[in-house]
This record gives sequence, structure tokens and C-alpha cells, in this order.
Amino acid sequence: MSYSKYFFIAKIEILSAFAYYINILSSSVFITFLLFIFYNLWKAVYLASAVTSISGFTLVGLLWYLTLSESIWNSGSGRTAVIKISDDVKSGNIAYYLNKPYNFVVYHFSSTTGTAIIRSVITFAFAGTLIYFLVGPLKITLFEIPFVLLSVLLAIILAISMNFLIGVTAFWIEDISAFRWIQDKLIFVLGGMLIPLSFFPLFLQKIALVLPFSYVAYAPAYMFVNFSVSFFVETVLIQILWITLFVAGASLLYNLGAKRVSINGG
Amino acid sequence: MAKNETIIRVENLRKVFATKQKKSGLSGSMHSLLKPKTIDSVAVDNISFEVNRGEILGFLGPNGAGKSTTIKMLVGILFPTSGQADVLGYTPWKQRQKLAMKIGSVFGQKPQLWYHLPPIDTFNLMSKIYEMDEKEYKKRLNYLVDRFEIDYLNTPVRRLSLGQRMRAEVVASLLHKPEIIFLDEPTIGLDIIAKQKIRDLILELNKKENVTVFLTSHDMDDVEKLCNRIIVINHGKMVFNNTLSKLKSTYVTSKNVEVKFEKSPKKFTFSGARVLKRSSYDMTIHLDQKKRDIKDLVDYLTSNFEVLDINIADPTVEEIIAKIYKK
Repeated sequence: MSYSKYFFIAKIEILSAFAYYINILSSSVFITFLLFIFYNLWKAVYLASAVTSISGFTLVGLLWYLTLSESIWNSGSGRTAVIKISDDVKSGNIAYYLNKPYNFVVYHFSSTTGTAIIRSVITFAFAGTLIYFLVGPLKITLFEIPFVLLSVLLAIILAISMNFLIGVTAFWIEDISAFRWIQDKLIFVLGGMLIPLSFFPLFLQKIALVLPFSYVAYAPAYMFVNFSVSFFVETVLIQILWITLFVAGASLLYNLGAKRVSINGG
Repeated sequence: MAKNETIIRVENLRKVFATKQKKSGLSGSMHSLLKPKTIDSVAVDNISFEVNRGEILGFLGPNGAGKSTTIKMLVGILFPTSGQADVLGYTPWKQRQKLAMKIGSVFGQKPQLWYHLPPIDTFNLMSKIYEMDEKEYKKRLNYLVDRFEIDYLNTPVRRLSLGQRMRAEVVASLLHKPEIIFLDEPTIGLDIIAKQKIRDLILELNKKENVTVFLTSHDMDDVEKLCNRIIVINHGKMVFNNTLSKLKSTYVTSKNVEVKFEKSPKKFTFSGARVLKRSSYDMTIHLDQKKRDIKDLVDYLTSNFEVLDINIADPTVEEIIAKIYKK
């Protein structure tokens, strides 16, 4: 079976996502506003403590760190898709996605990844422009950009896998919103969305680095600001490992679950 | 192509859903959390039938009879509890993707067109999903677009009327030249002209390409106009499997006679007949043919009243089916 179809599924989802451009734009504007607040907050912190660098982060570095991590977050990472999946699992509508010759798991990933990338790029364009005018450019070489982008892409896929795994548990668990809530907050704190993990006490940093959440936001954003090849290799390998685990788990649950799909209505 | 080639074979197909039960109130919730109680409901109960290539089969039954559940098992999106099915040589729920290449399906209540995009985008995607050759796809698309009068290829689906949308839905499911097409309520919510259009096209494709049609519908007109054979199921059990005319000859033991009078009729008495509806110049009479002949009634009417028009109709298939259910 040919795999090019999945590329076209991603493409049509992207086209369709543009119909919701107000939604994408308004969330991007919101993130940009958030970063404006962060800028004022952190500027005050750096001024008050009279330092140029906190745990290896300059003010410029920190703000670019936050810009990238927020942009990854705002990709949506399949969050809405997961609410839909769990609803569809509960109502039995999930069956309707299966009347075509494609693998549902791959279908899900191709349909959500495309849109997530677009959302991320748009958010970064908005927020990045503001940060550029506020603090100036980040020192980064052209050579580093493709590596960072790869890690960002893996971060988005990792977030989607995590969400997908939560979504398919709906075959057994009636309401998955609690899981989603907990996961959101874990990414927020232990994933380094709010502040970089480097600001945490050492023991907490260690815990966070063992968990998958930091590879959704912290790792690629840190790499963006403090690039090193060794950190890149380590991050990407761990990202791939987590993605493999989550996708395998989700596929397994999905295949088990599909056998017990019950459908409402005759 | 072999005549009477069986392409769908179903044997003792059965599907049982376990439905969670919960007592009311908080204690009920706690109880069902600790000791979940489920009740088995049988949606499809040991049905067996066959379908030949080129047939248009009507699959009828009231809501919740198990129609959709059966279709979903036949297209492989639902696993049965027990029983066998063979569709085009595949076991649907085991070889879903392979089977999906050769069948099409339209679920009237579940659109497959991308809502915010024009139909052409969905069509192009379908050609990729079904791995069609580019040239062949263009040819097929042109043909279907012409026949189905899709002159709104570039209008976002959300702006289309229901009839336009449904025609595009059917085109989307026919692009890859399926051998069987499953239509679940394809005319639901459409007006008479839009319905008629869809029916004509289904008939045309059936004649031209010998595509087998598996149709469920609430609309008895659909069934009368399209189907060679009818299967009726009720409570998951098959209660009838034969031609439409057989259905009528077995169950039609009465006629409805609509009469228009020039002058308002005075007294109408005719044994074996019952007035269903009357206004000053119109009357609908129900005649039990086991008791009296239709000719006698017509004679009686024309000799006793000034009749303008008489229309003799069979009861609708709906009424007939209601009769089967009552049995």
C-alpha cells in the first residue's frame, strides 16, 4: 500500500485549518501578548538582581526560549483531535473513519501533524517579531537551524503521540478530560514551559529530564538558545524513544479497542 | 462476468453490545463504579443471506433493527460477536483495507466531504487514498461530474444545499469504481426532486457498470423505485428476504381507493370497506380484498355517485412492513 496518501491527508487538513484562521491568529496574538508580559516580568527580575545571566540564560536567550516553547505549545499538538477521538470512541463514530483504505493510526498522525506545524509557524512568526523588536535577535548560526527544526518537529509529534495515547484510552475510560488536564499541567511545569528547567532545583531537574514532558518544550527550546551537537543527539534520540513507546502503546490500545467498538443506533 | 455470481455471503452473523447500566443517584454511581453491571443487547441476531453481483438490495427495518450494524460489519468497521461474512472474497473485519479498495460507502448522516473545502479537494484526496492512476481519475471525475451535475466543484461544501452535498458525497464514494456500494440512508432530508435525481443516477450506474447496491433507507419510495430484492430485519432477526412483488403479493391484501366526487356524496355503505378519510368532495376508502373484489367497489361507486376521479393504490411499503412486524 502506498504511503503518499498520508502526505495528501496532511495537506487537506492544512487547507481546512485555514478556514479557522481567526482561531489560529487570535491564539497567536494571545501568545504574543503573553510574551510581552514575560518580557516585562523578566526584565524586572534581571534588573533587580543586577545579573546578566541566570542559570546560563541571558534575558535575550530566555525570551527566545519562551517564544519557541510557547510556539510548540500553541501547535495544539493534536489536543482538539484527541477530544474528538475520545468523543468519537464513545459515540462509536470512530468506525466511520475506517471505511477507507488507510491505517487509522497513521491517518491520525498525518492529519494532525500538518495542522500543528502550521499553527506553530504562525505563532512563532507573531511572537518572534515582537521579541525581535523588544530584545533583538538571538545569536544562532544557520548551521544550527535545521537541527533545532528537526527537534521541534519531533517535539510536536511527541505531544501528538501523548495525546493520542490518552485519546484511545476512551475505549475503556468514560471521561479522559482529567488525564488531559494533568498532562497539560505537567508539560507546563515539568516540561519547562513556564520557566526553563535550568531554574529548578537539581533534583527536580533530574526528575523532569527522565519524564517525557520536558522533550515536548524544554529540550528543543534549550537547544535553540544553547546549541550543542551532543545535546541535539541526546535529545533527538530520547524524543524518538518516547514517540516509539507512545505510538506503540496507542496502536496496541487502539487495535484492542477497535474490536470492542460499540455503535450507538441500529 | 458470471451471472448470479455471489459476492456477499453472510452466515449466522451476530453482534451483541454490552451496555453499561447505572442506577440513579450518587449511590448508584458509586455502585456502578465498584461493580459495573452490563446488559447484553443483541443488535444483529444470527442473520444469513447472500447477494449477487449487480443486485440492488433494499435492507429495511425500523430504527434500531440492526441495519447499520450489519452494514458496518460488512464493510469491516465493526467486529461481529460471532458468525461469518465473505464480501468479494474477503473477511471484512480482518481484511478491511483491502476490501475498502473495492467498495464504496455513503453514510447519509456522516459526511465524508471536508466541510470547509470545495468538493474538488475531497475528490482529489480520494484519488490518492484509493491510489488511482492520475489519467484514469481525471476521466472518471469528468464523467461523474457531468452525470451528477456537479457544477459547484469549487464552492466550499458548507455553502452547498443538502441535495448538492449529497450528490457530491455519492460521487466521492464512486470515484474508484467500487464493485459494491453501501448506501446508508442516502436520501435522508432531501426534497423530492433531489431524491429522484440521486435514485436515477444510482440506477444508471447499476445498469452501466453492474455495480452492486446495498441500500438502507427509511424512504419507501427509494425502495420501490430502486430495489430488486428486499430484506427486512426487525430486532436483529431477518423476517423477510424476497422480491418487492413477493412482498406485496404476500402482504398486500387490501387497497386504498381515493375517490373525488362531483357532488358531495350522501351515504356510503359497502361491506368490507372502511372510510379512512373524508372531506366534502374527497374520500379515501380502505378495501379488504379477502372480503370483496375491487371491481365491485368501483361498480358500486360509479353507479351510486357522480364520480370525477378514482385512484386505486397499494398500501405503502411502510404499511406493509408494519404489518410484518406485527406478526
